[in-house]
Amino acid sequence: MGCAAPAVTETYRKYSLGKGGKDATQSLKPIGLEEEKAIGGSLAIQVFNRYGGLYDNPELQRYITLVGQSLADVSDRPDLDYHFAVVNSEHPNAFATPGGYVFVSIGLLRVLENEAQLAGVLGHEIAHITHKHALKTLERNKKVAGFGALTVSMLGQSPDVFDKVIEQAGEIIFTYGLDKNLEYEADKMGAEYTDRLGYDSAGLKSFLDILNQSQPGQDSVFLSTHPSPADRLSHLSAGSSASSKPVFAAEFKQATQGKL
Amino acid sequence: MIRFSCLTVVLLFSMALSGAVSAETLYVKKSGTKLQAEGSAKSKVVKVLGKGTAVDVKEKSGKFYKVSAGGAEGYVFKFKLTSKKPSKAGGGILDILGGDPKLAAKESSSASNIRGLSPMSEDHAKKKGISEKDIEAVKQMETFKVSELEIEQFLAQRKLGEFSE
Repeated sequence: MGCAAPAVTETYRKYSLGKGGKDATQSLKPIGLEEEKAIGGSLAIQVFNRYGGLYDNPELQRYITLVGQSLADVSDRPDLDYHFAVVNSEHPNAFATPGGYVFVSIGLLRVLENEAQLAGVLGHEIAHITHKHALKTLERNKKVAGFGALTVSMLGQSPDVFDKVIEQAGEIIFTYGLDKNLEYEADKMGAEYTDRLGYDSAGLKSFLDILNQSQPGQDSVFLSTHPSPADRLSHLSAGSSASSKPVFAAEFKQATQGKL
Repeated sequence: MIRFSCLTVVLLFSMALSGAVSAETLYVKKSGTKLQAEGSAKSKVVKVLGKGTAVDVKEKSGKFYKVSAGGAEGYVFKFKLTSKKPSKAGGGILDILGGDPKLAAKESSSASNIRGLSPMSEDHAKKKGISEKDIEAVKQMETFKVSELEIEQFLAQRKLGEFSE
């Protein structure tokens, strides 16, 4: 896939908990799909709980789902069931939880200017899921690595273990964030997915430009859990070239007008 | 010997020009992938392929690859194919179903067979005092669907994906 594989592998090896974690001496066996969905479903509930609940507008949700599912279909993991929703938070945020759950905030939709930017953001989140970034980070987490293997039957019999797993997964997603190399990888792969579909792959870059200039408040989880927009822009710029592909500004305006 | 080498070079050059490839096998990423009569998403659907179906690539040209799969020839949008061989656990039944459009379309992928919010997730949320509203929001999200037809219309309208020109 042409990713920065050595750097990312190294990231997984060194990562144990949050940013700057120490080497984990052991890790969980790879987490299976049923367990992934249970973990992702729990985190999805927390997304709604922490970020204003569901922004209930079926037309808007349909639009986000059309763009998101189209991207997922050309991704490296199209056989998963993906679900898309808008959360009622003013801060420009986007999240992905394992198992196919993708969220954007109403605040994020309000700062976007076109569909290519939306595709860039969704592509980034989908890439976290296709590359199992949160799961692989969790597998190296020293507070859960000792369990050896997580299976639904084991977790069902030991709710305390599941509580611990969700607590650690929540810290990865909502508090510490993923390692910055995983974020750069998601930026790169997200841009790749938008390019495969035919959008201007500079959509994410152009969104980060907006974010960089607008400087959202320090309480923005987007900033606290991601490298700075300027940092991400410099990484994205390194491998990108000018694109003449469409951005669909009029279509974005038409789809969102009166719904934000 | 020199004549043979020249012939080889000419052959390879003409293969490169036509996009022909020698015996490359790729695999279908998702059930319901269409094998089209021509290199266009608007052309007739020859067959619906199941996840993990092996296809032999005959020609690579533009966004569609000319392939043969299960005795039929046609074109597949290149981003629906992968070089990664499916694991035995995931592709077995679907490989068999791949030849039958009705069965293949009906059969969801192995990943899609695990549906709905896990009771474990729901129990955990209740135990943590999270409101029923947030649990219901995830259920709403999971049941909110767009159809394959809606996605096709969306892509066709914008000339994106397999509809790009």
